[in-house]
Amino acid sequence: MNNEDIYNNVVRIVSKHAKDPSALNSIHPDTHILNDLKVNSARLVDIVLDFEDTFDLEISDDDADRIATIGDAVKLVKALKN
Amino acid sequence: MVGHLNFIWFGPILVFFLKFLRFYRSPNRAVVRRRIRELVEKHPRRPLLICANHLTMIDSLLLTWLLFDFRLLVKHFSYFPWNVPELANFGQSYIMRSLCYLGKCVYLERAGSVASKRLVWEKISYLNRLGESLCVFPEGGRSRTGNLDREAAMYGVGQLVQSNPRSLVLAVYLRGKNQKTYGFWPRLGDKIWIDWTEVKCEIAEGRKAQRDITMQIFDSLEDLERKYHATGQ
Repeated sequence: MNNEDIYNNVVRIVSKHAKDPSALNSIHPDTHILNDLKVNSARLVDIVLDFEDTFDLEISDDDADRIATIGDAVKLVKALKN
Repeated sequence: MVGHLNFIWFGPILVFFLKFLRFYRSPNRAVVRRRIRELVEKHPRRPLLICANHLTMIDSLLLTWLLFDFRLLVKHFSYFPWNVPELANFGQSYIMRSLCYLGKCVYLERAGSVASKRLVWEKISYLNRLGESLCVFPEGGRSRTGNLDREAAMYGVGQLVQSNPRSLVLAVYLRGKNQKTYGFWPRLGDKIWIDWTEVKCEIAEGRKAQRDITMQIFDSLEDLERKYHATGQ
């Protein structure tokens, strides 16, 4: 899976939980998942579970806690895939 | 110990407040309490994990009053459940802080750091493993929809079940007859409907299992909610 695939999948997964659809039009690596997309913080666990299923990896609680932006998620997935 | 001794005087004051100043009544309280008594007699020394729906700011107080006999709590104060109130709502005055201290509370800051939330979780999880009962609201806060809201489900409750499989997990539904949506407290003189069911969770390891356990609890809460509506409340 190349970088673009990882980015697109991360955006697709996170978008499912966005409460502010207008923010999806201007999504970029610095987009904050909670503050910009208005994702309910309780849904972060679902997002992490989706990452694990989609990318076939295991994410620790500490790593999951560090995900704040789309870019953080992409970086984490890349690091765990390598 | 301090809370236990003080419960003997502050317990009746709280009941007086609920019964004679707010005029709350609960038609099925006696049955609910009897079933709780039978459950704890059948499973002595196992703490309760009370998972309830959430519509008013005094739900914890109502739950404790309606679920437990005063005598049971005096004898076994460990059944008086620990609560996790939001600091911004319940920690802003000395009176509230004192009441929360006496009422076994661990404050949570919803907007706090991940580390602070994890510390709160560790504290209550530790208390539960020591044999103390807990009361948590799996929706995280008062339901904005007026009914159970799966979208708001917090999987921390599943994590608590994993952390202490000895807990007796109870799904509790509590609602005033005139409670259309969330509010500060039930309407003055409202009849409070309450019912509970034990949730026999299938416990496994991992994050996915936390979600599954939480959803099992939501299933039970939804059954109770249907029962509430079916009884013409």
